Amino acid sequence: MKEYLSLAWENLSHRKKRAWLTIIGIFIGIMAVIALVSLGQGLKKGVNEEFEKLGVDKVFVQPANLFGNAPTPLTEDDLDRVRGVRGVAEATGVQYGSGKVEWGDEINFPYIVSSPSDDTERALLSQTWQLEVVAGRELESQDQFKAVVGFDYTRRELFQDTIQVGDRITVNNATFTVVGIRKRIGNAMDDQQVIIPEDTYNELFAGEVEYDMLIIRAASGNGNDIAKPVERALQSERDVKPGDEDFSVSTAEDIQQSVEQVLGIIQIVLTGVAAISLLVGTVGITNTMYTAVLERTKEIGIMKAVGATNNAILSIFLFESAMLGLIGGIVGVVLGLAISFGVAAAAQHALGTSIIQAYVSWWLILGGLLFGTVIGSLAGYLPARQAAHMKPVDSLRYE
Amino acid sequence: MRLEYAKLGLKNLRHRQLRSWLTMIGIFIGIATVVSLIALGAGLKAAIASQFGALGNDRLVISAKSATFGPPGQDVAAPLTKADLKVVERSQYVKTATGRLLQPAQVEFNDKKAVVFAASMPEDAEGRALVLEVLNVDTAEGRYPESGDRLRATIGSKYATKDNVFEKPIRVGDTVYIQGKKIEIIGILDSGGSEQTKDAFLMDEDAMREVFDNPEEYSVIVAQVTSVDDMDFAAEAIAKNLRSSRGVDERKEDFTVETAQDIINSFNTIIMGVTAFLVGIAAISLLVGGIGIMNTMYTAVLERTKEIGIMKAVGATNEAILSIFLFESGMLGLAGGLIGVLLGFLFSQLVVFAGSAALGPGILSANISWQLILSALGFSFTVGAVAGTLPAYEASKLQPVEALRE
Repeated sequence: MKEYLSLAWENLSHRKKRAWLTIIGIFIGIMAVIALVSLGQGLKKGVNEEFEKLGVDKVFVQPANLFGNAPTPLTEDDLDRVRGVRGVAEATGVQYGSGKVEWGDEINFPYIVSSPSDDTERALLSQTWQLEVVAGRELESQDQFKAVVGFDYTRRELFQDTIQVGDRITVNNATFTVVGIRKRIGNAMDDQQVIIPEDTYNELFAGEVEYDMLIIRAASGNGNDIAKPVERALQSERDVKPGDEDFSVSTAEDIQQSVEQVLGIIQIVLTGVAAISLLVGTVGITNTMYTAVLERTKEIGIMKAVGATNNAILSIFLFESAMLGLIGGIVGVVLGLAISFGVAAAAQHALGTSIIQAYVSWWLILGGLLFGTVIGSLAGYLPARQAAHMKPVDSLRYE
Repeated sequence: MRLEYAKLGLKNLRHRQLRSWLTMIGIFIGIATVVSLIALGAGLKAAIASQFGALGNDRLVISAKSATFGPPGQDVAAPLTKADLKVVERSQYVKTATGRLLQPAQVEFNDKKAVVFAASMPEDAEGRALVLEVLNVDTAEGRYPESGDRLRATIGSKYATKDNVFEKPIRVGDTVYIQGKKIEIIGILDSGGSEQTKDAFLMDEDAMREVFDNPEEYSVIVAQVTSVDDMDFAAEAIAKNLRSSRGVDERKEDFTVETAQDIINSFNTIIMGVTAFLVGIAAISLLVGGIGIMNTMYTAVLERTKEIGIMKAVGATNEAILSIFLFESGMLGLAGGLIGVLLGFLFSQLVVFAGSAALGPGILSANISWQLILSALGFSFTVGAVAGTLPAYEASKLQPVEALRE
C-alpha cells in the first residue's frame, strides 16, 4: 500500500509540469464548486437568522395579490376579527404605499410605511420588521408628522443630499421632521422606506384604512397553532369559501421554506454550471493517464515480466490518478474557501449586512477532498485497466 | 505554406486519436455550455422585444412614478388623470393619444374566485384603433367591447381553455362576476398576442370606471407621434406640458415618458447581467479545457523531440517549428469549437423544448446567430493557439543536437 503511494508520488514528480497542469484542471473546478456551495450554505444560514428574528410565534396575513396590489384589501374589521381569535396574543396591521418624497431639489417615490399608534402593536411591528434606529429615536404614540427614514437616506442612494435627524422632508406635500434613522437592513426595499405614524398616514393618503399586511403573535409561542383558526375566522369575516380565499395566511416557517426553495434552485443551477468544469478536468486526468500508460509501456512490460500481477499494475496507475485528484482537491478546497471568504467580506462591505456569509463545515472540506480523489480514480480507471491488460511480450517490444 | 502546416497538424492529431479526442472533449463541453447559455439569453431578449415591440416605434408611454414593480399605474402617489390625457393629446408632435386602465380585478366564475388582469378599451375610435394595433390580435369568437357596452367583457384566449384558473372554460354568453358585478362575456380573443393579452379581461373604459368606481384616473397613457424622427421632440414637449399642468419642476417629475425601446432596454440590462454571470461561471470550464490543450501539447513536444531535432537538422527554422505546433493546438481548439457549437445548438433546442412543455410556448426560445457561431469558433481557435504557445515556443527553442540525442 505504502509502496504504491510512494511509487505514484515518484512517477508524478518525474513529470512535474504535466502533473501540475492536470491538477490545475481539477482544482479550478473544485474551487468553483466549493466556493459556490460555501456561499450558498452561508446565505441559507444568513436567511435563517433573519427569519429567526422574524419570530416563529408570528403569523402574517396578506391580501391575495396580483403584482402587489389587491382588489380586496384587508380592513380594520378583519384585524378586529383576528384579535378575537383564541390563541392570538396581539395583532397589528401595516399599510404601505408609494409616496412622493421631496428633499433638497430632488424628488423620489419610495415606500411610505404606517406605524401603529398603540405601544404594544408598534413594538410588534418594530420587532418583526426590524425597525430599530441607529440614530435618533423610534416613533412614539403622540408623534404626528414625524418620520423615521431608512439607512439609504444617509448615503446618497436616493438623494444627493444626505438626511440627518432633525431635517425636515416633504412627503406627499406635507412636511415631516425626521426623528430617527433606521438601522441598515441591506436591501433597497427596506433601506429606502420612510416610516410615519398611522394617523398621519391615514391623513396623508386620505382613504379608508386598507392593510397590506396583518402581523399576529401567538400566545403559545408557535405561529402554527393559530394559522388555521385565523384563516377560518377570516373566511367567515370576508364571507369566502375555503379554497377561494382572497387572502393568504403564512407563518414565518412557510415564508422561510419558500425562500429556501428558491435559494436551493439557484444554488443547484450555479453549482451545476460550475461542475461542468470538473467534468472537463476529469477528462484531463484520463488524458494524462493514457499518456502515462503509453509512455511507460515498456516499463509495464518489464514489471509484468518479473512477476507483477494485473492487479498490481492496475493499482499503480489508479493510485497515481487518485493522487492527482486528491492534490487537486486539497488545492481546490483551500482556494475555494479563500474565494468564498473574500466574496463574503466584499459583500458585507458593500451591503453592510451579514446575510452573505462564508460557511465552512467539515463535511464540505472532507467532501471536496473525497470528491477529488474519487474523480481521480474514476478518470484513471480506463487507462489503468488498459495498462493492466497489456501483454508483457508486446509491451516489451514497444518502442 | 500555411496549408502545409495545417495538413501536418491534422496528420499528427490523427496519429494520436484518443488523446486528441479527450483534449477536444475538454473544449467542446465548455463551448457547448457557453453557446447554449448565450443563445437562450438572446432568445429571452428577443421574446421581450416582441412583447413590447408590438407597441410600435412611434409610440411613447407615459406613466406615473411609483415604488412598485409590475404593470404601470399601480399604487402610485400621483396618478395620471383624464386631464393629463388632454394635455398629452394637445402636445406638439403628438398625432393621437389614448389612456388605459390596467388593474387587478377579482373575478368569480364556476364558484371559483380568482384575481385577474383587467384592461380598458378607449371610448373614441382613434384610441381604439391605437389599442387594437398594440394588442395585434383578432377575436376568435364574438367581438371586442365597444363604446356603450355596459357590463360586458371580452376575455383572453387562456380563459377559453379547460385548465384555466376557474377550472372550466368560459364561453361567449357566459356570465361572470367582476368585483361583485354581473358581467356578460361577449368575445374571446385569438390565441396570438402577448402573454399579458392572453390573461386579460377587456372592458369598455366607461364600464370599467363604473365597476371599479374610478372616474378620473388612468394607469398609462400611450401617445402616437407624428413621425418617428420627432420622438425626442415629442417626449420633451409632453414632459414640459405635463410639468406645467401638474405643477412640478424639472427633475422633480412625478411621471415618466418612455419609448418602447427604453422599456426593452431596462429588461435587457437585467437579462444581460444574468447571462454574463452564468457565462462567466461556464467559462471556467473553457479555462480548464485550455489547460488540457496545453498539457497535450507539452506531451506532444516531449514525444516528438527527436522529430524536431531531425527537422531542425535538415534546415527547419525556429519559426517553422513554432508554426507547426501552434497550428496543431489551434486546430484542436477549432475542432472542439465546431463540435461544441453543434452540441450547444442541440442542447439549447432541448431546453426550449422542455421549457415550452413546462411553461407554455413562446416564453423560451433559442437565438443562434451567425455572429455567435463565428465568434465561438474564433474563440475556440484562439484558446487552442494561446494554450499551445508555451509548448510550441519550447519546441522551437530546442537545440537540434540535444534533441537528436533523445
